[in-house]
Amino acid sequence: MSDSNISQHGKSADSLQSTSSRTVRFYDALSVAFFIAAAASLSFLSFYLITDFVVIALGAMDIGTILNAVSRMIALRGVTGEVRAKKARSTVRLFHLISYACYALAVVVFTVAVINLATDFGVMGLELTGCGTILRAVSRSIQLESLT
Amino acid sequence: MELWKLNTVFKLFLLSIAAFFLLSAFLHYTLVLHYLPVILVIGVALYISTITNPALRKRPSRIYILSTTIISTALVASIVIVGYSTLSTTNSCHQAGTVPLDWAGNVIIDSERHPYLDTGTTYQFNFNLLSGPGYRLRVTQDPFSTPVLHLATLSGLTNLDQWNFAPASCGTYWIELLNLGFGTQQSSYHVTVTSIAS
Repeated sequence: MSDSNISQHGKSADSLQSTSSRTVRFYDALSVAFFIAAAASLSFLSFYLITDFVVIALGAMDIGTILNAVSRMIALRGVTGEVRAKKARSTVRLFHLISYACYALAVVVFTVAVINLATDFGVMGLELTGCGTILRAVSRSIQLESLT
Repeated sequence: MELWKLNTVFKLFLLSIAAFFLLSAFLHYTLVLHYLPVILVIGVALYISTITNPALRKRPSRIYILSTTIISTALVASIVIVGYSTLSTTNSCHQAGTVPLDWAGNVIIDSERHPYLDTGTTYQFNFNLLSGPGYRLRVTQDPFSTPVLHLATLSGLTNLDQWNFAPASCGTYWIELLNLGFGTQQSSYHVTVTSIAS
C-alpha cells in the first residue's frame, strides 16, 4: 500500500471515528431528553389519576431506551481488544437485567388487560415488551460483534 | 459513571415509579401519589446533576458554586410549591354539582369520560342509545378498572339503562362506551349523571 493510500485510509478512519462519536453524543442527549419527558409525564399522575400518562411515559422511555442502547452499540465499535470484550460483557449483562424487568412488568400488565378488557393496559404491556425486546436485540448484536 | 449506565439506572427508577403507581392504584391507595412529584424531582435532580457535574467542574469554582446554589434553590422551591399545592388538596372533596355529566355524541370504537362525583350523594346514571347498533358500557373508579361498578349492553332491543350509585369516596369515575358496530356503523348516545339525593 502506498503512503498516499495509507494517509487517505487514516483520514477516513478519523472522519468515521469523529462522525460516530458525534452520533453517540447526539443520541445520548436525545435519550436524556426523552427520559426527562417520561418523568414529567409520570409526575402528572399525582394530579390526574389517568393511566394514559403511564402509556405516554412508557412510550417516551421506549424511545430513550432505543437511543441509549444504539448509542452504546456504536460507542463499543470504537473500542478494540480485551477492553471491548470486557465492556461488551458488562453492557449485555445490564441490558439483560433491564429486559427481564420490562418483561416481568409486561406480564403483570397484560394479565390486568386480559382480565379487565382494559385496552390501556394492553398498550402498556406492548410497550414494555417492546422495551425488553429492543434491549435483547441490541445485546445480541453487541455479542455477535464482539465475536468477530 | 458512564452516561449509558446512568440512563439505564434512571430508566429503572422510572419503571419502578410506574410499577408503584399501578400497585397503589390496584390497592386503591392513591393518597401516596401526592408525594410522587417530590420523589420524581429528587430523582431528576440527581440525574441531571450527575450528568452536568463533570462539565461544571471544568469551570472556575465560583461559577460551580453559583450554579449549584441556583439549581438547588430552584429544586427546593419546586418541591415546596408542588408539595404545598398537592398536600393542601388532601382530604378535601369539592362540590360536584347537580349534573356532573351531560354527554352526547357518536361512538365509533370507544369513548370515555371521567366525571367528578362527591361522596354522600346518590347519583342516577342514564344511558340512552339514540341510534346505531348499540354499545357496551362500563363504569369503574379512576384510575384503575377494578372492580367494575356497572356493566351493561345497550342494543336495538334495550336502548335505555338506568343505574343509581352512591360513591363511597369522592373523586373521578370512569365511564367508557364501546361500540358494538364495525366501521361506519357508529352508535349515537346520550349519557347523563345527575344527583338525586344527598
